[in-house]
Amino acid sequence: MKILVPFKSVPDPYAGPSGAAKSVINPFDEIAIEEALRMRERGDATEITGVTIGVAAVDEQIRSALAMGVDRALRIEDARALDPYAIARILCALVKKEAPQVVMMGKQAVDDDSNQAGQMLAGLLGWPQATFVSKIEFLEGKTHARCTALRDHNRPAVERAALRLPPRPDEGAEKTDRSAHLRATGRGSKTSDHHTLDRAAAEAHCGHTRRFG
Amino acid sequence: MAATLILIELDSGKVKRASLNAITLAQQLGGDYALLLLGTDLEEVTASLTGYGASAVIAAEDAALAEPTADRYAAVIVEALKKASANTLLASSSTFSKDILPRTAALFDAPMLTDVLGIEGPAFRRPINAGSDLALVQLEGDRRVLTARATAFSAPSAVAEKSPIEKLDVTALSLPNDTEFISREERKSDRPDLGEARVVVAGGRPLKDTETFERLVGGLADVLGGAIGATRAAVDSGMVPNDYQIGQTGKIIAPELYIGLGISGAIQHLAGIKDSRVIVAINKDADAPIFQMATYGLVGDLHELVPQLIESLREV
Repeated sequence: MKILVPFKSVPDPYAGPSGAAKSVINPFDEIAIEEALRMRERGDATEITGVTIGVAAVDEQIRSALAMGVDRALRIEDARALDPYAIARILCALVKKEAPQVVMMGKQAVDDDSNQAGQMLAGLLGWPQATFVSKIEFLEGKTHARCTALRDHNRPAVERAALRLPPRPDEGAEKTDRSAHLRATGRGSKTSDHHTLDRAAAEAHCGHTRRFG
Repeated sequence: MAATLILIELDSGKVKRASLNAITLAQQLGGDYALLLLGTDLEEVTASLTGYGASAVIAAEDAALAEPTADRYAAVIVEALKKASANTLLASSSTFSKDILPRTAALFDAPMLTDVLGIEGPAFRRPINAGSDLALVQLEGDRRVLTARATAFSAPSAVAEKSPIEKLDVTALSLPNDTEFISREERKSDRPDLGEARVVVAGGRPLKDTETFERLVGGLADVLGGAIGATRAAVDSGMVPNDYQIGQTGKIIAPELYIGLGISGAIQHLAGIKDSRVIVAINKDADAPIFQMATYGLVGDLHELVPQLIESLREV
């Protein structure tokens, strides 16, 4: 099972007032990466791919993700300030190319606090979604993921739902596809691929561009 | 026909009061607005919403909508937007709306803003960086999806004229079937509310995980009959939900007794506790800034000290 973990580079929220605002992986996305690594340890996941969007400066966070233990980390070159909808559209095109069974993201980025990109991505893909998740278990045969989340009703409630995972692509076809787009990767040979995603293709896959400043 | 559609949130079949505050944002935006409800057995609850000046109260009633699964709800809301020719979708901010509205925005091809605090000309004001800054954001295009921070908008006042009730038939829609709702358990908490408690025990990042937090912070709070709170670092690391955050960007508290465990005392946290009558701090770093504000301080490892403290308080 392949897991894609998109992460955002944000100013360090723990930097003191005097500290220079160096960039770090969004802490909520870091939690998603750690959870993906645990899934690989348990034998549920076979490959974890991290991805971020930005210019060369975010390679620092690419290296952090690789140091944490992701198998591959990709950067989609884009210098624009992107809103969550634009991010979701770009990730949508990447998901179609990478064909993971699960995409895991932090619930929100600690800079813009939008809490939107993951849900938008699920909508564009037509995949089921679970938000504010505190626990993920894969059911027998890994056709479903059981997700536990805390919801703020009048009294906080713990909710559970089972999400059907997208079908796994044919193994052979998957290999061909990967070698066509990416340099050799795999565990033990960690690589960061500077991945240029054709923006026109991204938009053709996922709708129209709409930006706000 | 309405310019704005407002998604009303239900909790155990009843209207969640805070979700009505989005109506006030709709009134500030101007133009007609309709209310939308999804679920089962909606007759009574729909009728209870006809006094808020809406051009219609629309009920989408179907067994498939018994639980608020985002994939189905988003599909139905998009249908309702099209039927009503609405270009704006609103709801009050909550885990419900933050789950469903971004998905709906993507299907509706609209940009979205979360936690709107107010309108300034053509722009919207919203918090960023955990509330330490405010951003003014303008949206392009004629469609928009917004969630309103409920505390920033007052409850709408009732009007005499009754809104008509409409039904949205969803039987013809092919709804997604990839999410199976399993269970909901209310968290049984006998602890008092953080904002009103006489005793508050709060924890920071050194508590490490949810279990340790519950055992030490929760354990100490329970022997004292207090509420629990947390620093932003503890919330950010996923140990406890957002509701427990104390500080500038969380809750401002003034209990008779505040006990901070593993809290160094970042300015933004101290801003939230400074009115407490007695402040007790346990931290292994003797230079931690919280000791300057604390009435009583204990320097040491909380993992050793707190279980002892809980034990001796039990004996008292």
